[in-house]
Amino acid sequence: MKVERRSLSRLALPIKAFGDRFALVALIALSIALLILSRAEVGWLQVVGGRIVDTAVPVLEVLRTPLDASERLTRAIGEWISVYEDNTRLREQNRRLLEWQSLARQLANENQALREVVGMDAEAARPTVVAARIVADTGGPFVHTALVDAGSHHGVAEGMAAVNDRGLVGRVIDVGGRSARLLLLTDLNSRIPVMVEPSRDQAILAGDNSRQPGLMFLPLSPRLSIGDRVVSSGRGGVLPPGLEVGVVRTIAEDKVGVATAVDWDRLEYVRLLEYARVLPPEILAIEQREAFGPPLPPGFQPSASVPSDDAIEAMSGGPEP
Amino acid sequence: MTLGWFRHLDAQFRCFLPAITAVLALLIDQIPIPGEGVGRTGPLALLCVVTFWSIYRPDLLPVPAVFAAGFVTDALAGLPLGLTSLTLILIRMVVVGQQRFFVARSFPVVWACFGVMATAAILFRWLLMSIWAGHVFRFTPSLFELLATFVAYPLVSLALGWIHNRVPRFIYAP
Repeated sequence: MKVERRSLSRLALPIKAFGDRFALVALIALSIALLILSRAEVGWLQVVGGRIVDTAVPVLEVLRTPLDASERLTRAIGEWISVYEDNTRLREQNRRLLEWQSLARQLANENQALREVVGMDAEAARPTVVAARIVADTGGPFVHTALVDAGSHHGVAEGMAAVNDRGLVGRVIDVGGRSARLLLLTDLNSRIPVMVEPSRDQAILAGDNSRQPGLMFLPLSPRLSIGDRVVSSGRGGVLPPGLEVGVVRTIAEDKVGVATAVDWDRLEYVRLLEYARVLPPEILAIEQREAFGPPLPPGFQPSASVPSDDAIEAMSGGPEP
Repeated sequence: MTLGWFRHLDAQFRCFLPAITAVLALLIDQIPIPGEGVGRTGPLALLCVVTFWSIYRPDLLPVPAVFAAGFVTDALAGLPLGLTSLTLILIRMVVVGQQRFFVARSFPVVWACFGVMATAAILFRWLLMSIWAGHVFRFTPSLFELLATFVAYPLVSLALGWIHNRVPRFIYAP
Protein backbone atom coordinates (compact mmCIF):
# COMPACT_ATOMS: atom_id res chain seq x y z
CA MET A 1 0.00 0.00 0.00
CA LYS A 2 2.77 2.36 1.05
CA VAL A 3 4.76 1.53 -2.06
CA GLU A 4 1.73 2.21 -4.25
CA ARG A 5 1.17 5.64 -2.68
CA ARG A 6 4.81 6.57 -3.10
CA SER A 7 4.84 5.59 -6.75
CA LEU A 8 1.59 7.50 -7.28
CA SER A 9 3.00 10.65 -5.70
CA ARG A 10 6.16 10.23 -7.79
CA LEU A 11 3.97 10.28 -10.86
CA ALA A 12 1.66 13.05 -9.64
CA LEU A 13 4.36 15.54 -8.61
CA PRO A 14 5.80 16.28 -12.09
CA ILE A 15 2.25 16.51 -13.49
CA LYS A 16 1.32 19.00 -10.76
CA ALA A 17 4.52 21.00 -11.37
CA PHE A 18 3.77 21.09 -15.09
CA GLY A 19 0.16 22.14 -14.39
CA ASP A 20 1.34 24.96 -12.08
CA ARG A 21 3.81 26.23 -14.65
CA PHE A 22 1.22 26.03 -17.42
CA ALA A 23 -1.31 27.95 -15.26
CA LEU A 24 1.31 30.62 -14.53
CA VAL A 25 2.17 31.20 -18.20
CA ALA A 26 -1.48 30.97 -19.31
CA LEU A 27 -2.70 33.46 -16.70
CA ILE A 28 0.10 35.94 -17.45
CA ALA A 29 -0.89 35.72 -21.13
CA LEU A 30 -4.58 36.11 -20.18
CA SER A 31 -3.81 39.22 -18.08
CA ILE A 32 -1.98 40.81 -21.01
CA ALA A 33 -4.85 39.88 -23.36
CA LEU A 34 -7.35 41.42 -20.93
CA LEU A 35 -5.33 44.64 -20.80
CA ILE A 36 -5.42 44.87 -24.59
CA LEU A 37 -9.15 44.04 -24.71
CA SER A 38 -9.98 46.64 -22.03
CA ARG A 39 -8.13 49.22 -24.10
CA ALA A 40 -10.42 48.30 -27.01
CA GLU A 41 -13.43 48.68 -24.65
CA VAL A 42 -14.91 45.28 -25.51
CA GLY A 43 -18.58 45.18 -24.51
CA TRP A 44 -18.77 41.78 -22.80
CA LEU A 45 -15.77 42.60 -20.59
CA GLN A 46 -17.57 45.70 -19.33
CA VAL A 47 -20.67 43.58 -18.65
CA VAL A 48 -18.57 41.10 -16.60
CA GLY A 49 -17.01 44.01 -14.68
CA GLY A 50 -20.48 45.46 -14.03
CA ARG A 51 -21.74 42.12 -12.66
CA ILE A 52 -18.79 41.89 -10.26
CA VAL A 53 -19.47 45.44 -9.01
CA ASP A 54 -23.19 44.69 -8.56
CA THR A 55 -22.36 41.59 -6.49
CA ALA A 56 -19.71 43.31 -4.36
CA VAL A 57 -21.63 46.50 -3.49
CA PRO A 58 -23.89 44.91 -0.78
CA VAL A 59 -20.79 43.31 0.82
CA LEU A 60 -18.95 46.64 0.76
CA GLU A 61 -21.96 48.30 2.40
CA VAL A 62 -21.81 45.80 5.28
CA LEU A 63 -18.03 46.22 5.63
CA ARG A 64 -18.40 50.00 5.78
CA THR A 65 -20.81 49.93 8.69
CA PRO A 66 -18.30 49.52 11.59
CA LEU A 67 -15.95 52.02 9.95
CA ASP A 68 -18.76 54.55 9.64
CA ALA A 69 -19.71 54.05 13.27
CA SER A 70 -16.13 54.65 14.44
CA GLU A 71 -15.85 57.71 12.20
CA ARG A 72 -19.09 59.11 13.57
CA LEU A 73 -17.90 58.56 17.13
CA THR A 74 -14.59 60.33 16.48
CA ARG A 75 -16.42 63.22 14.85
CA ALA A 76 -18.91 63.44 17.73
CA ILE A 77 -16.09 63.61 20.29
CA GLY A 78 -14.39 66.36 18.26
CA GLU A 79 -17.67 68.29 18.07
CA TRP A 80 -18.22 68.00 21.82
CA ILE A 81 -14.81 69.50 22.46
CA SER A 82 -15.39 72.47 20.15
CA VAL A 83 -19.08 73.04 21.00
CA TYR A 84 -18.57 76.51 22.50
CA GLU A 85 -16.54 77.88 19.55
CA ASP A 86 -18.97 76.29 17.09
CA ASN A 87 -21.92 77.91 18.82
CA THR A 88 -20.39 81.39 18.63
CA ARG A 89 -19.42 80.88 14.99
CA LEU A 90 -22.88 79.55 14.07
CA ARG A 91 -24.67 82.48 15.75
CA GLU A 92 -22.62 84.90 13.68
CA GLN A 93 -23.20 82.82 10.54
CA ASN A 94 -26.93 82.65 11.26
CA ARG A 95 -27.13 86.44 11.51
CA ARG A 96 -25.42 86.83 8.13
CA LEU A 97 -27.52 84.10 6.51
CA LEU A 98 -30.77 85.73 7.64
CA GLU A 99 -29.72 88.88 5.78
CA TRP A 100 -28.97 86.74 2.72
CA GLN A 101 -32.28 84.92 3.08
CA SER A 102 -34.30 88.11 2.83
CA LEU A 103 -32.27 89.14 -0.23
CA ALA A 104 -32.77 85.66 -1.78
CA ARG A 105 -36.55 85.89 -1.22
CA GLN A 106 -36.66 89.25 -2.95
CA LEU A 107 -34.64 87.91 -5.87
CA ALA A 108 -36.76 84.74 -6.13
CA ASN A 109 -39.94 86.82 -6.34
CA GLU A 110 -38.37 89.10 -8.91
CA ASN A 111 -37.15 86.08 -10.88
CA GLN A 112 -40.60 84.48 -10.80
CA ALA A 113 -42.20 87.71 -11.99
CA LEU A 114 -39.70 88.00 -14.85
CA ARG A 115 -40.27 84.35 -15.82
CA GLU A 116 -43.99 85.03 -15.99
CA VAL A 117 -43.37 88.09 -18.18
CA VAL A 118 -41.37 86.06 -20.73
CA GLY A 119 -43.64 83.00 -20.37
CA MET A 120 -40.89 80.61 -19.18
CA ASP A 121 -41.91 77.41 -17.42
CA ALA A 122 -39.97 77.18 -14.14
CA GLU A 123 -41.02 73.58 -13.42
CA ALA A 124 -39.59 72.21 -16.67
CA ALA A 125 -36.01 72.65 -15.44
CA ARG A 126 -36.54 70.74 -12.18
CA PRO A 127 -34.40 67.59 -12.28
CA THR A 128 -35.30 64.09 -11.03
CA VAL A 129 -33.44 63.16 -7.85
CA VAL A 130 -32.14 59.80 -6.60
CA ALA A 131 -30.26 59.67 -3.29
CA ALA A 132 -27.29 57.31 -3.00
CA ARG A 133 -24.51 56.44 -0.59
CA ILE A 134 -20.85 56.15 -1.57
CA VAL A 135 -19.79 52.62 -0.67
CA ALA A 136 -16.38 52.41 -2.29
CA ASP A 137 -13.81 54.73 -3.73
CA THR A 138 -10.77 53.65 -5.58
CA GLY A 139 -8.63 56.55 -4.39
CA GLY A 140 -5.55 55.15 -6.02
CA PRO A 141 -3.07 57.06 -8.10
CA PHE A 142 -4.74 56.43 -11.46
CA VAL A 143 -8.51 56.86 -11.31
CA HIS A 144 -10.82 58.96 -9.17
CA THR A 145 -14.14 57.15 -9.28
CA ALA A 146 -16.61 56.09 -6.59
CA LEU A 147 -19.24 53.37 -6.38
CA VAL A 148 -22.72 54.23 -5.09
CA ASP A 149 -25.43 51.86 -3.89
CA ALA A 150 -28.13 52.90 -6.36
CA GLY A 151 -28.45 51.60 -9.90
CA SER A 152 -30.88 51.28 -12.78
CA HIS A 153 -33.44 49.63 -10.44
CA HIS A 154 -33.60 52.94 -8.56
CA GLY A 155 -33.83 55.05 -11.70
CA VAL A 156 -30.15 55.93 -12.09
CA ALA A 157 -29.01 56.51 -15.66
CA GLU A 158 -25.71 57.27 -17.33
CA GLY A 159 -24.82 60.96 -17.48
CA MET A 160 -26.68 61.96 -14.30
CA ALA A 161 -24.99 64.68 -12.25
CA ALA A 162 -23.96 63.75 -8.69
CA VAL A 163 -24.20 66.58 -6.16
CA ASN A 164 -24.14 66.94 -2.41
CA ASP A 165 -25.13 69.87 -0.19
CA ARG A 166 -21.96 71.77 -1.20
CA GLY A 167 -22.05 71.31 -4.97
CA LEU A 168 -21.16 69.14 -7.94
CA VAL A 169 -19.30 65.88 -7.14
CA GLY A 170 -19.15 64.27 -10.58
CA ARG A 171 -21.33 62.34 -12.98
CA VAL A 172 -22.51 58.79 -13.51
CA ILE A 173 -20.47 56.88 -16.10
CA ASP A 174 -21.54 53.26 -15.54
CA VAL A 175 -24.80 51.82 -14.28
CA GLY A 176 -25.54 48.34 -12.96
CA GLY A 177 -28.76 47.05 -11.47
CA ARG A 178 -27.92 47.96 -7.87
CA SER A 179 -24.81 50.10 -8.27
CA ALA A 180 -23.39 52.91 -10.33
CA ARG A 181 -19.93 54.36 -10.85
CA LEU A 182 -19.31 58.09 -10.50
CA LEU A 183 -16.51 59.84 -12.33
CA LEU A 184 -15.37 62.48 -9.83
CA LEU A 185 -14.57 66.04 -10.93
CA THR A 186 -10.92 65.45 -10.07
CA ASP A 187 -10.42 62.44 -12.38
CA LEU A 188 -8.10 62.78 -15.34
CA ASN A 189 -10.96 61.97 -17.75
CA SER A 190 -13.52 64.37 -16.25
CA ARG A 191 -14.59 67.27 -18.49
CA ILE A 192 -17.42 69.54 -17.29
CA PRO A 193 -18.70 72.61 -19.16
CA VAL A 194 -18.61 75.49 -16.68
CA MET A 195 -19.09 79.23 -16.47
CA VAL A 196 -17.08 81.66 -14.35
CA GLU A 197 -19.11 84.27 -12.50
CA PRO A 198 -19.41 87.26 -12.62
CA SER A 199 -17.70 87.54 -16.04
CA ARG A 200 -19.83 84.64 -17.47
CA ASP A 201 -16.76 83.32 -19.33
CA GLN A 202 -17.38 79.78 -20.60
CA ALA A 203 -14.76 77.08 -20.05
CA ILE A 204 -14.25 73.36 -19.53
CA LEU A 205 -13.30 72.11 -16.07
CA ALA A 206 -10.74 69.36 -16.62
CA GLY A 207 -9.62 67.02 -13.85
CA ASP A 208 -5.96 66.06 -13.57
CA ASN A 209 -6.06 63.53 -10.69
CA SER A 210 -5.17 66.30 -8.24
CA ARG A 211 -7.57 67.90 -5.76
CA GLN A 212 -7.59 71.08 -7.86
CA PRO A 213 -8.97 70.62 -11.40
CA GLY A 214 -8.10 73.27 -14.01
CA LEU A 215 -10.01 75.41 -16.49
CA MET A 216 -9.48 74.69 -20.18
CA PHE A 217 -10.64 76.39 -23.39
CA LEU A 218 -11.11 79.79 -21.75
CA PRO A 219 -11.88 82.74 -24.05
CA LEU A 220 -8.86 84.57 -25.49
CA SER A 221 -8.84 87.32 -22.88
CA PRO A 222 -10.59 85.84 -19.87
CA ARG A 223 -11.68 88.20 -17.12
CA LEU A 224 -10.80 86.06 -14.14
CA SER A 225 -9.79 86.84 -10.63
CA ILE A 226 -9.07 84.69 -7.62
CA GLY A 227 -12.23 83.88 -5.67
CA ASP A 228 -14.56 83.99 -8.71
CA ARG A 229 -17.38 81.47 -8.47
CA VAL A 230 -17.42 78.58 -10.97
CA VAL A 231 -20.77 76.96 -11.81
CA SER A 232 -21.90 74.38 -14.36
CA SER A 233 -22.97 76.07 -17.58
CA GLY A 234 -25.39 73.37 -18.74
CA ARG A 235 -23.87 73.36 -22.23
CA GLY A 236 -24.15 70.00 -23.92
CA GLY A 237 -27.44 69.39 -22.14
CA VAL A 238 -26.14 66.63 -19.85
CA LEU A 239 -25.67 68.55 -16.60
CA PRO A 240 -28.13 71.12 -15.23
CA PRO A 241 -26.88 74.72 -15.35
CA GLY A 242 -26.02 76.67 -12.21
CA LEU A 243 -24.65 73.81 -10.06
CA GLU A 244 -21.98 75.06 -7.66
CA VAL A 245 -18.57 73.71 -8.73
CA GLY A 246 -16.02 75.78 -6.79
CA VAL A 247 -13.98 78.97 -6.82
CA VAL A 248 -10.94 80.05 -8.82
CA ARG A 249 -7.98 79.44 -6.48
CA THR A 250 -4.84 79.91 -8.60
CA ILE A 251 -4.16 81.71 -11.85
CA ALA A 252 -0.92 80.73 -13.53
CA GLU A 253 0.42 80.66 -17.09
CA ASP A 254 -0.25 76.97 -17.56
CA LYS A 255 -3.21 76.34 -15.26
CA VAL A 256 -6.18 78.11 -13.74
CA GLY A 257 -6.83 75.99 -10.66
CA VAL A 258 -10.31 75.62 -9.18
CA ALA A 259 -10.84 74.69 -5.52
CA THR A 260 -13.88 72.43 -5.60
CA ALA A 261 -16.84 73.29 -3.38
CA VAL A 262 -17.17 69.64 -2.30
CA ASP A 263 -15.33 68.63 0.85
CA TRP A 264 -13.87 65.30 -0.34
CA ASP A 265 -12.99 64.30 3.24
CA ARG A 266 -16.63 64.33 4.32
CA LEU A 267 -18.34 62.93 1.29
CA GLU A 268 -20.79 60.17 2.23
CA TYR A 269 -24.07 60.70 0.40
CA VAL A 270 -24.84 62.17 -3.00
CA ARG A 271 -27.95 63.12 -4.91
CA LEU A 272 -28.11 62.06 -8.54
CA LEU A 273 -29.92 64.51 -10.79
CA GLU A 274 -31.39 63.76 -14.14
CA TYR A 275 -31.68 66.81 -16.28
CA ALA A 276 -32.66 66.85 -19.96
CA ARG A 277 -31.07 63.61 -21.07
CA VAL A 278 -29.46 64.02 -24.47
CA LEU A 279 -29.71 60.69 -26.27
CA PRO A 280 -27.34 59.47 -28.92
CA PRO A 281 -29.13 59.11 -32.32
CA GLU A 282 -29.18 55.29 -32.29
CA ILE A 283 -30.83 55.11 -28.83
CA LEU A 284 -33.22 57.92 -29.76
CA ALA A 285 -34.32 55.86 -32.80
CA ILE A 286 -35.01 52.83 -30.55
CA GLU A 287 -37.02 54.90 -28.06
CA GLN A 288 -39.02 56.50 -30.88
CA ARG A 289 -39.78 53.07 -32.32
CA GLU A 290 -41.00 51.88 -28.91
CA ALA A 291 -43.23 54.94 -28.53
CA PHE A 292 -44.61 55.33 -32.07
CA GLY A 293 -44.22 51.88 -33.64
CA PRO A 294 -41.95 50.88 -36.55
CA PRO A 295 -40.84 53.57 -39.03
CA LEU A 296 -42.97 54.08 -42.15
CA PRO A 297 -41.79 52.25 -45.29
CA PRO A 298 -40.27 54.40 -48.06
CA GLY A 299 -42.83 55.75 -50.52
CA PHE A 300 -45.67 55.39 -48.01
CA GLN A 301 -48.95 57.14 -49.02
CA PRO A 302 -51.54 58.12 -46.40
CA SER A 303 -54.66 55.91 -46.54
CA ALA A 304 -58.11 57.10 -47.68
CA SER A 305 -59.29 57.47 -44.07
CA VAL A 306 -56.95 60.42 -43.62
CA PRO A 307 -58.42 63.40 -45.48
CA SER A 308 -56.04 64.98 -48.00
CA ASP A 309 -55.27 68.70 -48.09
CA ASP A 310 -57.63 69.19 -51.07
CA ALA A 311 -60.50 67.49 -49.21
CA ILE A 312 -59.94 69.75 -46.20
CA GLU A 313 -59.97 72.80 -48.47
CA ALA A 314 -63.20 71.60 -50.14
CA MET A 315 -64.86 71.07 -46.76
CA SER A 316 -63.91 74.56 -45.58
CA GLY A 317 -65.28 76.11 -48.78
CA GLY A 318 -62.14 76.40 -50.89
CA PRO A 319 -58.93 78.36 -50.46
CA GLU A 320 -59.02 81.89 -49.20
CA PRO A 321 -58.69 84.44 -51.96
CA MET B 1 -16.12 8.00 11.75
CA THR B 2 -18.25 11.14 12.32
CA LEU B 3 -15.45 12.82 14.24
CA GLY B 4 -13.05 12.06 11.40
CA TRP B 5 -15.45 13.58 8.90
CA PHE B 6 -15.80 16.77 10.97
CA ARG B 7 -12.04 17.04 11.33
CA HIS B 8 -11.72 16.68 7.59
CA LEU B 9 -14.34 19.41 7.01
CA ASP B 10 -12.64 21.68 9.54
CA ALA B 11 -9.25 21.15 7.91
CA GLN B 12 -10.72 21.81 4.46
CA PHE B 13 -12.25 25.08 5.69
CA ARG B 14 -8.96 26.19 7.24
CA CYS B 15 -7.26 25.58 3.89
CA PHE B 16 -9.52 28.26 2.42
CA LEU B 17 -8.44 30.85 5.02
CA PRO B 18 -5.68 32.38 2.83
CA ALA B 19 -8.15 32.85 -0.05
CA ILE B 20 -10.69 34.37 2.35
CA THR B 21 -8.08 36.84 3.64
CA ALA B 22 -7.30 37.81 0.04
CA VAL B 23 -11.00 38.51 -0.64
CA LEU B 24 -11.25 40.57 2.56
CA ALA B 25 -8.10 42.53 1.66
CA LEU B 26 -9.34 43.40 -1.82
CA LEU B 27 -12.67 44.61 -0.39
CA ILE B 28 -10.95 46.67 2.32
CA ASP B 29 -8.76 48.25 -0.38
CA GLN B 30 -11.93 49.69 -1.94
CA ILE B 31 -13.39 51.24 1.20
CA PRO B 32 -12.60 54.91 1.83
CA ILE B 33 -10.16 55.23 4.74
CA PRO B 34 -12.01 56.54 7.83
CA GLY B 35 -11.26 60.23 8.37
CA GLU B 36 -9.37 60.43 5.09
CA GLY B 37 -12.32 60.88 2.76
CA VAL B 38 -12.86 60.05 -0.87
CA GLY B 39 -10.04 60.08 -3.38
CA ARG B 40 -7.12 59.55 -0.98
CA THR B 41 -4.40 57.02 -1.62
CA GLY B 42 -4.20 54.16 0.88
CA PRO B 43 -2.16 50.99 1.33
CA LEU B 44 -2.55 48.02 -1.01
CA ALA B 45 -3.58 45.37 1.52
CA LEU B 46 -3.93 42.77 -1.23
CA LEU B 47 -0.24 43.12 -2.14
CA CYS B 48 0.70 42.45 1.51
CA VAL B 49 -1.60 39.40 1.67
CA VAL B 50 -0.38 37.89 -1.60
CA THR B 51 3.27 38.37 -0.59
CA PHE B 52 2.71 36.84 2.86
CA TRP B 53 1.00 33.69 1.60
CA SER B 54 3.47 33.35 -1.29
CA ILE B 55 6.26 33.17 1.32
CA TYR B 56 4.62 30.84 3.85
CA ARG B 57 1.87 28.86 2.07
CA PRO B 58 1.92 29.36 -1.72
CA ASP B 59 0.04 26.05 -2.12
CA LEU B 60 -3.03 27.59 -0.44
CA LEU B 61 -3.07 30.74 -2.59
CA PRO B 62 -2.39 29.36 -6.08
CA VAL B 63 -1.87 31.45 -9.22
CA PRO B 64 -5.54 31.22 -10.36
CA ALA B 65 -6.68 32.60 -6.96
CA VAL B 66 -4.17 35.48 -7.24
CA PHE B 67 -5.37 36.16 -10.79
CA ALA B 68 -9.02 36.18 -9.66
CA ALA B 69 -8.27 38.55 -6.75
CA GLY B 70 -6.49 40.94 -9.11
CA PHE B 71 -9.31 40.71 -11.65
CA VAL B 72 -11.99 41.58 -9.06
CA THR B 73 -9.84 44.45 -7.73
CA ASP B 74 -9.55 45.93 -11.22
CA ALA B 75 -13.30 45.53 -11.84
CA LEU B 76 -14.20 47.26 -8.56
CA ALA B 77 -11.62 50.02 -8.88
CA GLY B 78 -12.51 50.81 -12.49
CA LEU B 79 -8.95 50.04 -13.58
CA PRO B 80 -8.12 48.25 -16.85
CA LEU B 81 -8.82 44.54 -16.28
CA GLY B 82 -5.61 42.54 -16.02
CA LEU B 83 -3.46 45.34 -14.53
CA THR B 84 -3.47 44.17 -10.90
CA SER B 85 -3.66 40.47 -11.88
CA LEU B 86 -0.47 40.72 -13.90
CA THR B 87 1.37 42.66 -11.17
CA LEU B 88 0.34 40.22 -8.42
CA ILE B 89 1.13 37.08 -10.47
CA LEU B 90 4.63 38.41 -11.20
CA ILE B 91 5.19 39.27 -7.52
CA ARG B 92 4.04 35.78 -6.52
CA MET B 93 6.36 34.25 -9.10
CA VAL B 94 9.39 36.15 -7.72
CA VAL B 95 8.53 35.41 -4.06
CA VAL B 96 7.90 31.70 -4.65
CA GLY B 97 11.23 31.50 -6.52
CA GLN B 98 13.01 32.87 -3.41
CA GLN B 99 10.79 31.10 -0.85
CA ARG B 100 13.64 29.19 0.85
CA PHE B 101 15.52 32.45 1.42
CA PHE B 102 12.46 34.19 2.95
CA VAL B 103 11.33 31.37 5.23
CA ALA B 104 14.71 31.20 6.97
CA ARG B 105 15.00 34.96 7.61
CA SER B 106 13.93 37.11 10.57
CA PHE B 107 10.98 39.50 10.22
CA PRO B 108 13.00 42.75 9.68
CA VAL B 109 14.81 41.13 6.74
CA VAL B 110 11.51 39.91 5.26
CA TRP B 111 10.02 43.38 5.78
CA ALA B 112 12.97 45.05 4.02
CA CYS B 113 12.67 42.58 1.13
CA PHE B 114 8.94 43.28 0.99
CA GLY B 115 9.82 46.98 0.66
CA VAL B 116 11.97 46.22 -2.38
CA MET B 117 9.27 44.04 -3.95
CA ALA B 118 6.47 46.52 -3.23
CA THR B 119 8.59 49.25 -4.88
CA ALA B 120 9.02 47.05 -7.94
CA ALA B 121 5.30 46.15 -8.02
CA ILE B 122 4.07 49.74 -7.68
CA LEU B 123 6.61 51.02 -10.19
CA PHE B 124 5.56 48.27 -12.62
CA ARG B 125 1.86 49.11 -12.16
CA TRP B 126 2.56 52.83 -12.69
CA LEU B 127 4.60 52.10 -15.84
CA LEU B 128 2.01 49.68 -17.25
CA MET B 129 -0.87 52.07 -16.53
CA SER B 130 1.02 54.99 -18.10
CA ILE B 131 1.64 52.93 -21.25
CA TRP B 132 -1.98 51.69 -21.29
CA ALA B 133 -3.49 55.17 -20.90
CA GLY B 134 -0.86 56.93 -23.06
CA HIS B 135 -0.37 59.46 -20.28
CA VAL B 136 2.46 59.85 -17.79
CA PHE B 137 0.75 59.77 -14.39
CA ARG B 138 2.23 61.75 -11.50
CA PHE B 139 4.35 59.44 -9.37
CA THR B 140 3.68 61.17 -6.03
CA PRO B 141 0.35 59.35 -5.32
CA SER B 142 2.04 56.03 -6.20
CA LEU B 143 4.84 56.93 -3.79
CA PHE B 144 2.28 57.52 -1.01
CA GLU B 145 0.68 54.20 -1.88
CA LEU B 146 4.08 52.52 -1.60
CA LEU B 147 4.86 54.11 1.78
CA ALA B 148 1.41 53.25 3.15
CA THR B 149 1.75 49.64 1.94
CA PHE B 150 5.24 49.33 3.45
CA VAL B 151 4.00 50.66 6.82
CA ALA B 152 0.91 48.42 6.71
CA TYR B 153 2.89 45.20 6.11
CA PRO B 154 3.83 44.45 9.76
CA LEU B 155 0.18 44.85 10.85
CA VAL B 156 -1.12 42.65 8.03
CA SER B 157 1.67 40.18 8.70
CA LEU B 158 0.76 40.01 12.39
CA ALA B 159 -2.88 39.22 11.63
CA LEU B 160 -1.97 36.71 8.93
CA GLY B 161 0.61 35.07 11.21
CA TRP B 162 -2.16 34.36 13.70
CA ILE B 163 -4.23 32.77 10.92
CA HIS B 164 -1.18 30.91 9.60
CA ASN B 165 -0.91 29.03 12.92
CA ARG B 166 -4.46 27.79 12.41
CA VAL B 167 -3.97 26.52 8.87
CA PRO B 168 -3.09 22.79 8.65
CA ARG B 169 0.52 22.13 7.75
CA PHE B 170 -0.46 19.36 5.36
CA ILE B 171 -3.76 18.92 3.59
CA TYR B 172 -5.43 16.36 5.81
CA ALA B 173 -7.20 13.30 4.36
CA PRO B 174 -9.12 10.89 6.64
